[in-house]
Amino acid sequence: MRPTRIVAALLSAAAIGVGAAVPALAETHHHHHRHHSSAIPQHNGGDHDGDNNGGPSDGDGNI
Amino acid sequence: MVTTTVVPATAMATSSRLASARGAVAVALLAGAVAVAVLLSGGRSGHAVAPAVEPQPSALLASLRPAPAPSGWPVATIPSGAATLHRPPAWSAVEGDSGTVSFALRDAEGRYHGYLNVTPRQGGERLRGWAAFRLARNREEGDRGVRELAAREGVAFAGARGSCVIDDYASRAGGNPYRELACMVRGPRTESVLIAAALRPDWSRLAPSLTRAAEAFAER
Repeated sequence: MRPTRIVAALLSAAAIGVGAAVPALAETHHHHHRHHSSAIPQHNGGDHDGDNNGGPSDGDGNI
Repeated sequence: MVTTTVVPATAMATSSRLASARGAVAVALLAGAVAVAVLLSGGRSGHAVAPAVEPQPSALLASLRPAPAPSGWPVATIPSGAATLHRPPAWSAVEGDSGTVSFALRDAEGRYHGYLNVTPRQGGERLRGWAAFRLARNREEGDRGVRELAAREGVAFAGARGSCVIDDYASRAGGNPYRELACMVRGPRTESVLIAAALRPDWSRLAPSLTRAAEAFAER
């Protein structure tokens, strides 16, 4: 196989690996405003968690 | 009769430059591919992890026990000083609530592949019934398809005890599929919640690192 084809194959594999991850963008700051009786103050009218932006849920325990 | 084809010198030079440029592009692309592969490997430098087989959630919980963090893992303490978390070297701090610490493994586009978070106990969290609390909390946050895979109470941490649950859900924003190990840990004086999560396709690869972070977690 020609070197350029090998590189293309590697890139395709890498792209598939990245593409398999559903976008979970961080720090876009489209906050939802949770109304907590909060033990932890929430700045800027809402928190800055990744879970507001498609990231995983944090350990915030207020319901 | 022998026919000889002579390629003009200018054409040869152009061909040579094209070949050289093509080679440089190929090398650059290959370097990029390697960089992406290293990033997505979990940044486990100094800590050999074999992600060959996905751990069964119940087996993972049963195997949790206090252990020192791998050599070279940076440590972070939440602002109150109540809890200490180690993280893989390639993971970076991400913004979170005040009073908490969060680290993540993200790619160049900001996607979360792995996530660690420590939050002081805030509300109605209890060791007994922790799994149900956590799942209800995720649903209340708007996560979808929340599903418990395994739960265990009486988990030993360094100088502390805890309750843990492993569950799947899709994030409220973006519907991204995650699997998390969520533990509530009670130390002699304080209580915190530890979240160790990964994008579902990355769980097999990152679970060993997440587990090591949990096993090195310390609550005061």
